[in-house]
Amino acid sequence: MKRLTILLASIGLLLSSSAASAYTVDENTSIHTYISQGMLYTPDNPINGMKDVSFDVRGIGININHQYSDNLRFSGHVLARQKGEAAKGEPELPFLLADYTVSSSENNEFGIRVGRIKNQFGIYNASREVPNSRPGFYVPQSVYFESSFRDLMVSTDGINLYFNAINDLGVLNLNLYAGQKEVSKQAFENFVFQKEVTGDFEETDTLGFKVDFTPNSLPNLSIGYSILNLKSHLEGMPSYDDTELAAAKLLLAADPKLSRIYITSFETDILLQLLSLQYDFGNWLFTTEYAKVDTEQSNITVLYDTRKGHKYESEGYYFQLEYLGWDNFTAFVRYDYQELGKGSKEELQYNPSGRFPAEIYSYGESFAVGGRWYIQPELTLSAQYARTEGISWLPRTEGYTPNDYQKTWDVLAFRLTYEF
Amino acid sequence: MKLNRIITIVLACVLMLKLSWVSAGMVVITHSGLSIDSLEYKKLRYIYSIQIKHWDNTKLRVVALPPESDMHRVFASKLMRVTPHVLQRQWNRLRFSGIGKGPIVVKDEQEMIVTVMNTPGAIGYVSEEFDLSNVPVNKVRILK
Repeated sequence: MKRLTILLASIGLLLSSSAASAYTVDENTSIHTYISQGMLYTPDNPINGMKDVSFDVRGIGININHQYSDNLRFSGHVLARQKGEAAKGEPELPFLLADYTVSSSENNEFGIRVGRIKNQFGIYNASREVPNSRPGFYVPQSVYFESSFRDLMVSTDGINLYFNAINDLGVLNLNLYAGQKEVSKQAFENFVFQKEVTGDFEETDTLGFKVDFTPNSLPNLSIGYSILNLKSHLEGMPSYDDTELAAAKLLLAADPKLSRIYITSFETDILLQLLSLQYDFGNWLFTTEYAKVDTEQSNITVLYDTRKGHKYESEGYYFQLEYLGWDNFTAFVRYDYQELGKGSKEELQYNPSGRFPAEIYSYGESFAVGGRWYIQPELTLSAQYARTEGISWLPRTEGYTPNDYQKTWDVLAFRLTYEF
Repeated sequence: MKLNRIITIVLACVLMLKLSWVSAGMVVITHSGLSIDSLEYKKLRYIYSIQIKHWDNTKLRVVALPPESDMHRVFASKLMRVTPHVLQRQWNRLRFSGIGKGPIVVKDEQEMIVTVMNTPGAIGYVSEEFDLSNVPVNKVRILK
């Protein structure tokens, strides 16, 4: 509560200043800053360690854009987030890049971006850490994997080639990017294993492609297809001499569940595909996205003995309708559905430990309503209420056992955001 | 009789032409070095959503009034047929994904005129009531 008071006081101070003038420094440079404070009411299940009422959700971000010349632009974004146990306010650098336009005309543009680049994936991924870039409080949980490999989806250290074309048919945008990214170990391990294991995923190879098209005959329609491939392997496992190996094998034979601490190699290859559609008509905006995720686990050895690999498929989709006809309010409804390890629930391939019951872990189905109130041009209040069945996208909280989670759970979330 | 027919046809053409473009009480203006006589509303929308970035080998500089201003709201909804919220979200997506930058935001029409006048490639808008007779900017007709 004390932190909230401090934050509200800070916002009050900011409000009393002439904030809007900082928006555009000059015609070549702009600085955009936001500060936000959230409140979460989660009476049924913990979210990132937060339960019942929590104010442990806040963030600050600064975005700088500088057009050095007609062909060269620099851009960067630094932020700090507090989100329960998931983020503790450490500085983050979602992107820092140089963008060079190789050729451009009225009808097409070709260029290259290098540095830490944003992964162009779907409608909300590339700006997901900015509170007001989507309706309500959360990005659609069914296709944006907030609790698992969010960090891998956000950005890549590498290169991005882009091509934009405008002709009689419409507007076409192509993006191809590749690079590497450090892994947020705990969340990714949770996604792959549902538990901690010996060794860590240190780095991931990323390869992605996105195409968007807006037809001239229907300029209110935008359709897109994104593909993102993430490859990683466990590193830093202990090695065993003959005596240790024999002893470990005896222990493992006595308790097969110990396999997670005796993993000696493991590779994973994740292919995410996303179809996107957005259509605005009058004061309404309709958005839908469908994601398909193919996961392959291979080169698995436990105490150097080869184990069978796994392949499984997950999918998610959402439908969202927004009303944007009021000057100072927007409102939305959203339906989300996600199914992990589709078609393999009985075999529990996705959840081999049985630590979390597949019947509630493997899926999520949610109805959400919410909106945003533009209190002042710079100050907004976002709200979202969601009732969800299944916990597939619910982040795990340390110390909670499967029986502690409710199958049906509610969340009410508010976020006050000040942008200037 | 023949003259009457010609006058009627001319008047009909003028009326049709009048009906085929839209102003909503506003004039779209560009820097004097940018020669655009008319624009389809779709192209104006592509320019303001920063999808068309160049015109005649000149880099475009989009200039906008504050998103909360009545004039910006009318400009977006009447001239581009898009709600200001959608446009704002497109700009935010550009800024916060590192793939582009939003418009130059000016505080009022006076600053709009000065910015468009002095920035090569600039495009903006002012009220029709604004006296542009001695201002060295181009006026652009927006086609429906």
